[in-house]
Amino acid sequence: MKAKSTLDPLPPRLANKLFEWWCKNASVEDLHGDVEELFHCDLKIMSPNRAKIKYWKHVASVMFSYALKKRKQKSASHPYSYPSIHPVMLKNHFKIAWRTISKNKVYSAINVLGLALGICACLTIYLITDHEFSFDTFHPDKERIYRIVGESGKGEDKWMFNCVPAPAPGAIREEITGFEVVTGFHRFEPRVSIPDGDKPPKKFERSDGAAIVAEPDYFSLFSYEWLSGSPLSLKDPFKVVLSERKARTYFGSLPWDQIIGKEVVYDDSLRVTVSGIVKDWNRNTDFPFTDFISFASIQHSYLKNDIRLDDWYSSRHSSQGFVKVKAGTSPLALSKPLTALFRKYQREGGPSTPVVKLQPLSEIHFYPNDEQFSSTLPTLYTLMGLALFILIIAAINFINLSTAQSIRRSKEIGIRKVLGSLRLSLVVQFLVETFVLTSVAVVIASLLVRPVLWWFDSFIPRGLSLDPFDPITLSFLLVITISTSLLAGLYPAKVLSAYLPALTLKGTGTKMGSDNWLVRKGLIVFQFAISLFFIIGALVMGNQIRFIKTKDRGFTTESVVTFRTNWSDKSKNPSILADRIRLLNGVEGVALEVAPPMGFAQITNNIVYKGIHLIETSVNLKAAGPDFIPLYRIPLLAGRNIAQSDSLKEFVINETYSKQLGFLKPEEALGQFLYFNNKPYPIVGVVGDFHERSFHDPIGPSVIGTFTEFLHDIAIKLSPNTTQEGLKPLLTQVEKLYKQIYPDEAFQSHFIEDEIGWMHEGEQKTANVMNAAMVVTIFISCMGVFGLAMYTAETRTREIGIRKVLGATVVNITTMLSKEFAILIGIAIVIASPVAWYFMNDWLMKFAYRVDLTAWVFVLSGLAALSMGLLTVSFQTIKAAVANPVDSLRAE
Amino acid sequence: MKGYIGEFEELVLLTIASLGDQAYGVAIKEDIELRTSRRISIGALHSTITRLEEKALIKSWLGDPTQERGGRRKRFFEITHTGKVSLHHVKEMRDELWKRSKVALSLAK
Repeated sequence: MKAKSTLDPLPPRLANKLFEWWCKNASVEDLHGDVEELFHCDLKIMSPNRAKIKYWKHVASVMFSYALKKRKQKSASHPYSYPSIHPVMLKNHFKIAWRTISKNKVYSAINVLGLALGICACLTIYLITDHEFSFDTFHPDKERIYRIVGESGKGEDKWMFNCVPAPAPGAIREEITGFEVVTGFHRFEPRVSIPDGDKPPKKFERSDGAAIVAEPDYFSLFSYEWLSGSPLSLKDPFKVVLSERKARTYFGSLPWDQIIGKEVVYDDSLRVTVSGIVKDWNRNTDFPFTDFISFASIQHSYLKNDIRLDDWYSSRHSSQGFVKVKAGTSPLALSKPLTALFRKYQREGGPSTPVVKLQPLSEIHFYPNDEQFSSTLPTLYTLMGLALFILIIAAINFINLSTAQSIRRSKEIGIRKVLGSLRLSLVVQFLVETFVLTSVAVVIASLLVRPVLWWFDSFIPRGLSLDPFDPITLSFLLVITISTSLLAGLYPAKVLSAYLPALTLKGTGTKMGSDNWLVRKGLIVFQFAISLFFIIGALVMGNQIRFIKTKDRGFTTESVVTFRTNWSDKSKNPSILADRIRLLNGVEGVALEVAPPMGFAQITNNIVYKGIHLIETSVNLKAAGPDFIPLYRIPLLAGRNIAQSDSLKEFVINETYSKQLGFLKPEEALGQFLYFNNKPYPIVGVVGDFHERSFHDPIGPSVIGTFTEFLHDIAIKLSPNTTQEGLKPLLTQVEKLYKQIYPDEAFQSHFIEDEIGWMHEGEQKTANVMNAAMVVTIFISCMGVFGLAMYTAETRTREIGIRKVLGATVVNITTMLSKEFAILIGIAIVIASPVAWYFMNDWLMKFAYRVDLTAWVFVLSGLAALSMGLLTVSFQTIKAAVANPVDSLRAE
Repeated sequence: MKGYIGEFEELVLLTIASLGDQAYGVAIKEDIELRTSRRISIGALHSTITRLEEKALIKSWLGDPTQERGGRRKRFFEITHTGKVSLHHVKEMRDELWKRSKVALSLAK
């Protein structure tokens, strides 16, 4: 007999591997055992090789048997367990979730608060963006409606204007095909009076641009529901169509047919009769007009002074041109004939002839002023990005805290697994837990939205509120809840469910924790990097805004109040009023002007200097009386102030213009002649440069002269001894004088400082958002480190106890625990600084006058983040450090 | 008839019964092969066993690990009451058919 080899042949390993792979989780221990036993039996009666081949056969026969098929089906659900999404199981998940949450109150509170803050930010931003994007989305054919806009200049000096010369729409309609509707309308702000038989007429103040002069075509452009009358009635002069609400304001509850034919008087001179009534749109719109006066009235009324149907050269913002293109026509192709048409009527090929373009209706809301780039759109996109970031760092908090907690729960997980819980059902359990926390957070966030909206009232559009039962808002809330649950819950669920029960139950599961430690560190770094970005951003923006407010503008604004008089008043009334105000007590000086030295309103025109070369420049015209320069304390560099005059006689120019004209010294400019409208005017003085526009734009050439027709604005310089209390009665006196001349006009005065503030409102808003974001992110990040520090202190209780027993001091231990966090925040500083530098530099570059981006901003931000982080951590570390080691060591 | 069982199923059931508390996969296979001198694959046997278990004619439990099976446990089978009832049904039907036979089934000449 052959000697039996010490090693019995084993079944082929490949077959075993294949078998195990094929069976996956199915319990096949007995089957596998049977197959192997057969192999050993076979070995007794045949050669090992044949037995191996037979083994393959056995394995194959089991693999494809009905028995295995059934076992595999069963493996998905243990006979004694429900599938993880079975209602009973879900109920249990919720119960366990609730128990875990109430057991770890501090962790849960941090989690919920952080998430609620994040979600609240998201929700607020969602409401804002939703509101902003909802304008004029309800018009039929809205994708075919365009506004006629012009684009002038090139490159850096490019600017847009979103208005047309008054005659343009008519000419386009006549000469260019491809449009279904071409129409122009003109906004104006009239005073309204309603004659009422013998009784004194009902009067209404100027409302906000709600009246337009419109052609019947306007109603083919936008569709209205007609309650009475028809668009055709606007063909005749002296007709007006009112909106339902306006008709009710004017005539109370009269039936429609009695309102038709009633008389309405605009600005005391334009008498029109009501010819139709339309229903108001009750959706968000940028065209909230309520009085539609017939276009034909222009020629026969005072309106012809303002709406000059023969003037192709000036375009006012109140004059708008709109078109509806024919279906299938590209707006791009229409730009060329439009531009050609404008060229034909305007000066031949002059530099100011614009490129005419069509602006889609959907964009109009975002370009309220003449802007090349919308100021609101980037803000909105920034806001959306911000919402996402805040949500992400809140989710990171969650991930951090849950994984930190995981070691505490490793025993629970071990036992669950031993008792037959599948990984999937553990994942579902943790997701349910996250879902419960998120839902609580969403509820808190929804409750927080109202106070937040109220708090940020100043830069949140009006009429915004959270309607929790709006289906779109509801679905947004649902999406937020689910996506946040998944975002925050998947990673912890994955980590927790991966624990090996044998390790965790033995108590050696801490190794798993140290793996996650790295991920958690990374997340803390990420959080702090974002917070730092916002801290740096807020600091830089704050600096720039302080710079704008405090920089020498070249003129003084201190205690200067301005107000407007009637723009269309061509008489000498403004100067009479100015003279009267001058006599008031507490008034140091009064100046007539077109506008304050710095402001939105700019009048530019071409002025020619015929020196060695002919220099034609687009110059800012500052219409002003002789009091203008002394009142604003604009320094005279050479020559003298303009003299009192009833018409334009001479110019004072600014230093920039003087340099542009080629004068080396301001004195050289004196006595030279500038040609304005082909008439020569002498330069009598040169003043120092002063800012005319916002700090985005560099100071350009400007002239100061008595352009009498523009002098409608009055600036009052208060004497230095006028107190806050004295201001009010003084303004009342001014108003009284004003009412003597303009009895029906509303009086509105502003401090010029405020007016300049409005120019940088956009930046101020962005800075406010930055500040808010900074507070929120710092808060969330600090909560994150707080939770983590709490966790570290807890897991290292014994270590700290032993260290203390061996002689470590409280300071030693606090330092030891804090060092870790300090390093993390340090890394965050290194990451965040260059990113913040890049973006803030970009932001600052938009200003022609700006602060420098100095290193101390970064140092300060870093120190701030570090100290806040350490302060938060210190609560826990000090608590851990002062704890009595007896207590911590006895716990074992 | 409810719970009708096939010929091979009957064979497996009776073998399980005959093996007593030693009825597990390999033992059943070898016993059947010895008795019927036909080769059956281990997969087919377990398929039938699975079906019998589904019909609740047998029940099973896991035994202790054994060395020659790579440390794996055996699954032992035992006939249930339902199993016994259906064996009786089959047997009664056979006996009845035997009795009713119009042809002499006796092999004696």
